Amino acid sequence: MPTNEVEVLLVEDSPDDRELVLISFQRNRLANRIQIACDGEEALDILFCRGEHANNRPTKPKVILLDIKLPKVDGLEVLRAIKADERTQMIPVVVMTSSAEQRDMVESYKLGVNSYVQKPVDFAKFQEVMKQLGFYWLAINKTPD
Amino acid sequence: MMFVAAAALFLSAGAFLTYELLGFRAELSDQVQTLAHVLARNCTAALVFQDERDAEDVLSGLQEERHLMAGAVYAADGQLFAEYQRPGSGGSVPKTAGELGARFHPGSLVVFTPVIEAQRRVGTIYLQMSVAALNQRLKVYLVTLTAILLASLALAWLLSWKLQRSVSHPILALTQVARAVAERRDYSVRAKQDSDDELGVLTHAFNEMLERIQAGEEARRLLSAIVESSDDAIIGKDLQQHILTWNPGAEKMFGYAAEEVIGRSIEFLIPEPYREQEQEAFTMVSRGKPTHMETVRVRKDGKLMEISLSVSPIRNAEGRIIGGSFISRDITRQKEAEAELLRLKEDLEHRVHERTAELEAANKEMEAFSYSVAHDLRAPLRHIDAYSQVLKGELGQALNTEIEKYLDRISNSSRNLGRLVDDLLNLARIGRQDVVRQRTPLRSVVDDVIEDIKQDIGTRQIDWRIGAMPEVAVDPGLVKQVYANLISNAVKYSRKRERAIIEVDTKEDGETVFYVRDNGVGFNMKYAHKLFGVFQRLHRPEDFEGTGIGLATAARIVQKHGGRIWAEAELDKGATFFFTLTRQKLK
Repeated sequence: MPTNEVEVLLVEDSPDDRELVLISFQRNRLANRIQIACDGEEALDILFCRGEHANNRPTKPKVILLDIKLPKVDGLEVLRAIKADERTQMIPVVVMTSSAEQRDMVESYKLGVNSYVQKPVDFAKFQEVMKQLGFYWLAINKTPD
Repeated sequence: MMFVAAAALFLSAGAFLTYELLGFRAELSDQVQTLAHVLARNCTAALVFQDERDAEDVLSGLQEERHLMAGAVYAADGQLFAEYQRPGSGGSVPKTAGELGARFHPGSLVVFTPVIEAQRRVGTIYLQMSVAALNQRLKVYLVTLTAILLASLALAWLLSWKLQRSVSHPILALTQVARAVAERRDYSVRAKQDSDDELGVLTHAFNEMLERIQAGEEARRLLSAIVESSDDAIIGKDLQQHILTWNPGAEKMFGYAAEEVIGRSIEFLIPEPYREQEQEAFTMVSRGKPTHMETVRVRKDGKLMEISLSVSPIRNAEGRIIGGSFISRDITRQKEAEAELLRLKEDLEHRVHERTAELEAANKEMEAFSYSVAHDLRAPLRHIDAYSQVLKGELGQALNTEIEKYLDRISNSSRNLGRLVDDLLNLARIGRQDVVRQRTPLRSVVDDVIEDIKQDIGTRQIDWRIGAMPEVAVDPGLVKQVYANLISNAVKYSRKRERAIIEVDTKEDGETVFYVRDNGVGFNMKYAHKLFGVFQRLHRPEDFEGTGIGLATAARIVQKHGGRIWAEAELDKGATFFFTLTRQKLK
């Protein structure tokens, strides 16, 4: 596996949340290679080499951290596209969201999400969650090549 | 009757008398003629020999016969030959012989008999006999007859009187009763029954017949009163569809008087399109099947009306169908009311539909609202907390207690606000959520709640007193929230007690009442009405933290189950929260 391979694809529209995720990863020395998509459309462009990313090599991150409430194409649509396509359906997807809406959770699991995490309000807890997530999906979890 | 008997008696007595009189006369005449023959024989010699003395001698023998008035002998030439006259008898002797034979004269019988000798008439005998004896006999006879006649009459009268009493009287009484019935149509009169003989039986039968007629008459009157007073039109028709009867209800409903329609065919009442239907109904009835339908009739004034019609066969005494009874009720208004009701119902349904759609839209909006609140309100709160933490880390050596205190305050506030948002969203979600009841063992629900809470209470000593708790049909998730709120409140408000006692149980008070009791700080009952309102708090936040939404949530859940929630408390003694989970039965 090439070292410059993207380890985490973070799909997040809020710059604050992007910042906090990055801080958490940095503090815990996890995942240096994080690619960021600011909305659902960009995430799909990156994954399927479309639009601005048409000329890039296809990315296959170890985990996709996916917010649900996204502009243009929302998180559940992104999840559906990922799980429906042979090229991407093996990539673990972790939905990270502010709310714990039942219907989002149910829909996500129906679409084949691998994990569903509510972002804690307490930053200490948030950091703890990010640390465990990174550790589990990047170090422990195994995916097919 | 007496007269007939008497006439018969008199006639027969008269006939008898006449017969007897004739008999007596014939007998007397025979007797006198026989005597004359005897005399003739005795006087033959005297006449032949012209011996006057001998003839007188023979005649003198006549004095022995008491009733003989006179006698005489005439010669062949008819000249008086010898004679005899009873002195004082008034008898007479004619000068010459008269015509032969016996003849009655007033007061006497006169007989001339020839005297025959050797086939030659030699003289004539004359005898005059008094009829006094005959009259005497007749007189005696008449007296006897009269006596018998009178006796017979008396007997006849007696008999007739007796008969009248036993036969005529009852018959007369019966006749009178029959006349009263015939003339006055009074079937309530009764003939008096005196005896048990044939007449008694007849009277009894007559009375019984009257009784039956009276009962029939009363039934008929009752029926006819019902028919007359009915608001329904009751019409009788024969098998040719002609109207036989027409009650006042029919007059009122259709506008025709009875005399205008009786005998006419019914068709003028039925609008053209409904005639076939009527014919069908009539065919049914003539086969003996009653039928019911709703149809249309036309009034005299041409107005159409909707009626409900019941048709039944009319049978005669032998059970043969001779017509049909048609009972109709004007249901025009009912139909109008029905149509109005239908219109109102449709209107209502339409409105319900509209309102439901509005409500659904509002609900959708509400859902969208809370969805974005969940995301968009929580996110900045997280950021505030996160950045204050990050700042704390970044400050490093520059961080002093003062700065740390403020940064912690920022964190706490954002976290409190986060909880508040969560609780409010939960409350809103419960409002939209349906109660799904299933058999739930409450004891295990309570145990779960206590298990969760125990993780947060550290070393505190709490005396848990949990009842057996029944199994009830409730929404387990929602009821768990109620217990979580009430029990965590009980734990919170009893934390200043060295030994907190928390009791969770049920009691029966006409319904099952659930309760959670603590011996905590309690509250003043005058604020009890504020307990279940959103954001209502009875304690200062520095004493007891909280969002003021927990009890509102519990109340909302109880309400959704159809139950009630209330509390009893005393300041510093503790509080008890009661609730029910089923709709209270109306007393």
